[in-house]
Amino acid sequence: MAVRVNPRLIDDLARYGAQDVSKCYHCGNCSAVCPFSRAPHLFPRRSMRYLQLGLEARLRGSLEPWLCYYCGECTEQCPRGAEPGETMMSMRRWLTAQYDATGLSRLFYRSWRAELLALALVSVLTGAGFLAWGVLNGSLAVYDGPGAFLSSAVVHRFDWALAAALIVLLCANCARMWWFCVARAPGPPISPWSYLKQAWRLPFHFFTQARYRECERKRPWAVHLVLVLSYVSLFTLIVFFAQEMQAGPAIDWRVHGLGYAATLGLVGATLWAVRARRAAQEAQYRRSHESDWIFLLLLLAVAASGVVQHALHRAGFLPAANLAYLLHLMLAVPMLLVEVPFSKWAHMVYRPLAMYFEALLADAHASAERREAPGVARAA
Amino acid sequence: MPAARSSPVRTGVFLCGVDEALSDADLRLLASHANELPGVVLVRREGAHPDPQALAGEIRAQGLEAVVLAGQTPGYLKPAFTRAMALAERDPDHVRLAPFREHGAPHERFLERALAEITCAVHGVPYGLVARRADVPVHPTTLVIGGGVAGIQAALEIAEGGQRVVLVERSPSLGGHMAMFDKTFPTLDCAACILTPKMVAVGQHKQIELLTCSEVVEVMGEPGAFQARILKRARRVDLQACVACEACSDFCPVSVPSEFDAGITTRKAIYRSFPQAVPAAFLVDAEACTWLQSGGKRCGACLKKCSKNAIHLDAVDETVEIEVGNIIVATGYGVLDARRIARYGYGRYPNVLTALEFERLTNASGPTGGRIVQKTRRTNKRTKAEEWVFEADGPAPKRLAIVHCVGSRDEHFNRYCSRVCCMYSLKFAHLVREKLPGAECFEFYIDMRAFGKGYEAFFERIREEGVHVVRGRSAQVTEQHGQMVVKGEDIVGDRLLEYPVDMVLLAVGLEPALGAQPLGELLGITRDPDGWFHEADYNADPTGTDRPGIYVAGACQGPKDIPDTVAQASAVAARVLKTIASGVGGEDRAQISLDEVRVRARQLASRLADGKMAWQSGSIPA
Amino acid sequence: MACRVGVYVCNCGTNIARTVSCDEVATRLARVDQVVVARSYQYMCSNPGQEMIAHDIEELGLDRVVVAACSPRMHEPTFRAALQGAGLNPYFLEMANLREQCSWVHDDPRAATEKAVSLTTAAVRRVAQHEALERRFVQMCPATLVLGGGIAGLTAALQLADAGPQVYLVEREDHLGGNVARVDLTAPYLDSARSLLQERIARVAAHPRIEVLLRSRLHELSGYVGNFTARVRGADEGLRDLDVGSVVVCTGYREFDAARAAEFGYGRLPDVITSFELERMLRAGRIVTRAGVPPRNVAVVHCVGSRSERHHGYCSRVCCMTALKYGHEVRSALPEARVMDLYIDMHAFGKGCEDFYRRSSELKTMFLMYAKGHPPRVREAEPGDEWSLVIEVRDVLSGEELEVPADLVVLMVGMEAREDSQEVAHLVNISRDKDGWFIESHPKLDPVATTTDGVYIAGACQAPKDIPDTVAQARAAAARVLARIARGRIEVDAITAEVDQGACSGCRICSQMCPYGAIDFDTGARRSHVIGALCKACGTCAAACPAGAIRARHFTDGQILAQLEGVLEWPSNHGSSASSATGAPTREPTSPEPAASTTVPTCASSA
Repeated sequence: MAVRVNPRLIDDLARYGAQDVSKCYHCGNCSAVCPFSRAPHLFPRRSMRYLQLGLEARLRGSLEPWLCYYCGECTEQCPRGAEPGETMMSMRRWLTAQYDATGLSRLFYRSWRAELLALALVSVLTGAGFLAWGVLNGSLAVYDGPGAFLSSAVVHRFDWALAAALIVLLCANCARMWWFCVARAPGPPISPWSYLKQAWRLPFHFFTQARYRECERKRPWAVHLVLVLSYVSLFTLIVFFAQEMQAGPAIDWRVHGLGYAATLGLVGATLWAVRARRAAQEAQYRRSHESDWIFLLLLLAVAASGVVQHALHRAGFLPAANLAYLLHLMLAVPMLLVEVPFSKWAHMVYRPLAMYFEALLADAHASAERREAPGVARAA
Repeated sequence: MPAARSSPVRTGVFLCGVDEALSDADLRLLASHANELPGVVLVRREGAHPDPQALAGEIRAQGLEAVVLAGQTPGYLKPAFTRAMALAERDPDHVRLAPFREHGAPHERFLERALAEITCAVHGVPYGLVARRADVPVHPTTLVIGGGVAGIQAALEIAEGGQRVVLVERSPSLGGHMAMFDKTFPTLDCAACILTPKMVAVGQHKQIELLTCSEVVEVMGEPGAFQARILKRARRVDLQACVACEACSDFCPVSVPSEFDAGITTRKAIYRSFPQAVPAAFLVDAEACTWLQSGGKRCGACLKKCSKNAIHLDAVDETVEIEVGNIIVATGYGVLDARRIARYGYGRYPNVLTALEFERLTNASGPTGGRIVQKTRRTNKRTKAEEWVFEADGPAPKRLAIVHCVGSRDEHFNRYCSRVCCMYSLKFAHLVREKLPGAECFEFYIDMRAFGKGYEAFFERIREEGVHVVRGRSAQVTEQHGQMVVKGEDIVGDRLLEYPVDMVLLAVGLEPALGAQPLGELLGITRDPDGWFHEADYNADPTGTDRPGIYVAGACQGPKDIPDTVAQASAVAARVLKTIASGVGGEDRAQISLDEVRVRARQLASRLADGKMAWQSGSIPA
Repeated sequence: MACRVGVYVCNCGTNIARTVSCDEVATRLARVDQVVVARSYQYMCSNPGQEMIAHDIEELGLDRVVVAACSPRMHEPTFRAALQGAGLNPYFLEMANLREQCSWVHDDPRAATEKAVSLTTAAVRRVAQHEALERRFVQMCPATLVLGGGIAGLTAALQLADAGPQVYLVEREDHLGGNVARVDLTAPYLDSARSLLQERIARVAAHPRIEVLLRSRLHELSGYVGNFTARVRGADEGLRDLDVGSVVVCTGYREFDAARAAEFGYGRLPDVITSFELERMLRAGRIVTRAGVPPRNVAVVHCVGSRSERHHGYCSRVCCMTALKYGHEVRSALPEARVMDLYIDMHAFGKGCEDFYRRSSELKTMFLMYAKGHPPRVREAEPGDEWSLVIEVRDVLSGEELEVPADLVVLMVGMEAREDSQEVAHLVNISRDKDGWFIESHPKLDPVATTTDGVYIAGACQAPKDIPDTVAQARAAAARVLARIARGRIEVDAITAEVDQGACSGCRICSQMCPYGAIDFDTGARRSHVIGALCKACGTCAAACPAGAIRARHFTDGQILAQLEGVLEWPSNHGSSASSATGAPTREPTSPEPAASTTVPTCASSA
């Protein structure tokens, strides 16, 4: 069945950052030097080809962009400055938008103003809500416990609600991703057993970022891992141990020990990324999309406000601590609500998922080949 | 074509793509100049992507009847303006170009020429027709710089035309790169067989004075009457007396890498580049000679051995001055240093060879008598150092990879295509299959550029001979436990290749010759961004330069294969013979004053208008 | 009579030495009577090789020379010159062709060596019979005939006329300019082809020494180099004779008829056009579909009629860059339009061309690479589609079967030999290759000369070429003519037929047989005689003459019989040769210069 080319898709992707893909003349360098590229998932060249030709369905159903960690090898060696790495990055942005049914993601990626506006809106609503609640039910002088301006119990309940919302949104997107990449993928069907058998990959890749380690230089992997683990620990602490975190002024080392470590990791890793992007030396940091900056700065702001709030509380400036807490929430909530399902942060889910799907497809083909005559080519 | 009319045509002049070439002051000058020209009612700058609809509106509003596009390469905008004229119901033929770049590179008189071109375009007459004069008397002697196939061809053509030629060659012998080659594509006749007779002819021709080991160091004077100072490096062996008996070199204790063999063999300090060299006499390499380095204290073995006392180690360089009318630059090319591309492992793995090295290896007069072998490791007796060398009985490679576009078509090295690599790579593949029928040979390419007469057929033939052509330039050469491996993507086969090989041939690209820059400066001719000499006009005058009386031939103007080089060299010879035959030359563009251009353009325009010089004989069909 | 023959066996690098043991041939030839010296050397044609011969002629008093090397076509003149230089009559040379007739056509070294020995011996026998012949000279008429008024013809004509001689420029059409006149801009710098032509044409039209004959064609070319008579049929159908010394053929090319490649639907589908039709649209500023609207998607298809088994195998050399040019022009004229470019290999080899290619890709032109032999198919779109055409193509770089929507499809029609090329070739007596292009005398060293002395070719009639290469070649042809004119006279070969006036019966059979009209009949004496300058020494007359009165110089019965006997000598007369066989032929001496092996102690190697 012939596929129709679309000479204008390339313009759309340009909005997501792929400015130079049209320069590629297909010498095959990039795929050969890429440490992650292996049959049947050869990239970046083939993905770039799909983009040049505007084969939208092919792109939407491809896992390759998620298997790329943008180590920059391909871009360094590209003889025509076609920026394969950046193109893959843009495809991840584009895919994120494709997976999101609401269309918000597409809007945010194509216009940073819209994204900022959304963040601001959520922020203001959050702020207004909590302020109202605090003024009505508590006093600014009380930090935690009964009569507190923002009692942890309340915030905790709110956290759960928020988490639930995020999970729903993410699951919806993941379902779409599964539909594009697995359900509609040509080739043999996938057995339920293999879904179970391969499930371990999700947590494994999420917590170890193992594949990233295959890159020549190990530092980016290390930094990325620190960021992920710190974020996860903080998230866990907030969602499950809000009370313990808020109690005080005595420092409860069981939770805060971890909290401090994670905060350190988070801020450190983020600052490292910011520095790298500002220096714009390595290929993977040379081109920064607006969404990258929004993400990093937001992350920093959240961490900073959290630290301030914590410090003020321990120092006993309770009203100030309360206001800092409010600010912290006004930053954290929009970050979670906008970035996780609709923007850059979604990749923390899509990457492991892609590797899971990759394994499923491989399984299916292996078993298919075992059944049929050996040496049956994979229907491309 | 400008129609006959009394009142001047209402013309709009648009300056486009000028930003990189000209300063704002220059632009203001251009604009004010254009404004004064007859009929010009509008002068303005235009962006890179004009909208024909909007232009049409402007043309109507201004009532323009003709449009002049002036700039570096304004042709890029012409279709937009042509359509705009059509949309505005004007004659689309009245869009004229004043391209600054096409008529030569930016140089000191660039601005003046730009003004002249705008003037011509506004009058609707070709610049090339206005800006020419042929009243410069020309000295009959011609200086040819470079003794490769281009220089040889040009010199012979002119000498055959009965005129005197001085051929200056930097190296000790004629021949250039072509003399190093084994076979030539696509006919596979041996390079020596077709080149050596010409070398002999040059060496013997009464009209040709051959100066080897020599370089042009200064050029003064005017077109038609140049004075060139030439540095003749001491050969230290008497050209006439030496009979090339080799007695001297047999006893010379010093061995250095042979330039002619691309460094894969050694030669002595007193040597002859190759047996068929012209002139045949030996020479002394002053840097290597013990006697000269020790100030005459040590060695001097050759002096004792030469029965004809032809060796004069104390000879010194001299400079001669000659008067010439025309100068032909035929300095050829250099090749990219493969070490610059680390990932191909040249210099790291012994059996990664460059094209020239392989040419010598496979050449009958090469170190192995034409046998294709791998390097073998041995310890040098004198230095006790490990070294890899070609030995005639060395092991033959079983698997070879030929990598195309090494350093060519690449932003990091040379952006341009080197034009000859595809074909010589195919030739290599053929030689390998012919000499080692058992060997497997892979070609890794991007586009197979087999464009010349008989080239495509040659490509087909090589395929049928069982050479594997892989679409996809391989990415790197690595070593996995002692085995060289070429890694690359086989795009058509849709797989990644990790191909174990015994030998890798790098189709290194062509680069401007080392001396090109200084030579260009002392001759006052410009070079393009890639370093090749700039032709006067891409289409109309591919062998002329910005300076009248100075011509370029062959690869020094851009990569070229032998037939195209020979054709160009002959073409230059024609130009030279013409000037000498007519006694006057130098169709000098830069030297014409702007006023002169204005006057001529006006005259010509009117003559064209009232059909005095009409091209009825050439009325071009619309 | 006893002569002193020197035999020189050339290794031709490994061309000969790979199969033939040259040392053995030399060793064995040295034993042949009358042979004074026999050597083998790497490149006889090189300077040392020729000096070796000259040296021996002097030292050993040779009076005959046999060079056993390649085909005499290339190097017979070389060695004749060497003999002359050494004071010997150049015709005392004979070549044995060991390359084309032994090493290249045989695999068995032993047998090949035997054959080489026989051929060389035969040459020795023949050369013994050679006679001293004297060369003669004819005057060179400076006027030149240029066939074809395209860019090549214009350039050649101007180049010649500016240097002095009279030029007749004959053009079939009613205007000059040829195919370039149909082009608006040139790749890769989008310079104006028109002003290029205007300049040339205006100068030609105004040139005092160029006579332009439009709507005219060459009717007949008689005579010989330096002294041709060209009969030209003019516009008025009247014939006119022009005396010229040289002819430069610049008849150019014609475009491939796209209708012949049915898969592209040219002629069947209205919006499929050729490159030249697009040129016309661009020049008129109206790029529209048959429906009269500007196209949104323009597809450009490369290699229409080129690089295909069914049509022409060769590459037309200029189409790739022209196609890229259209990409730029279309985007410039129609900023909204998209260009899709279907190619096999992108031949961007010229100066500035790779850069041009890069710039096209920056324009977001969509490049689709199809495999040679699997051309795209153009068909009508389904009703309701917003485009009129669909191209079905398999893209090599993605391995996908694709449908390319298009409103306008431009076919890059290749170049092919003109319909009249055979006629022209016949008129001026030059040969054509299998594709109909005129054949140059040597692809590398002599790209403009032909097998007929005094007739030169330039431009696309020799093979597809772009403008700069055409201009260069046209000037190269001019250079040859100018050199000839400068020398004023031309040497004609001494090898001709001659009529023994005594024996001639005046039957005139010979003059009817002679294909070159080289035999004149003296009605008074009723005897035929040969016009040396016209005679090509084909031997027809000698064979035909019933009275046996005609003998072909240098190909006498005596010489040919002697040669035949020579072939049959081995091994009978000289016994077995196994003893003198040297090592495996492929194991040639490998030092940069093997000492020329010699069997005569009296003279040392002169190499």
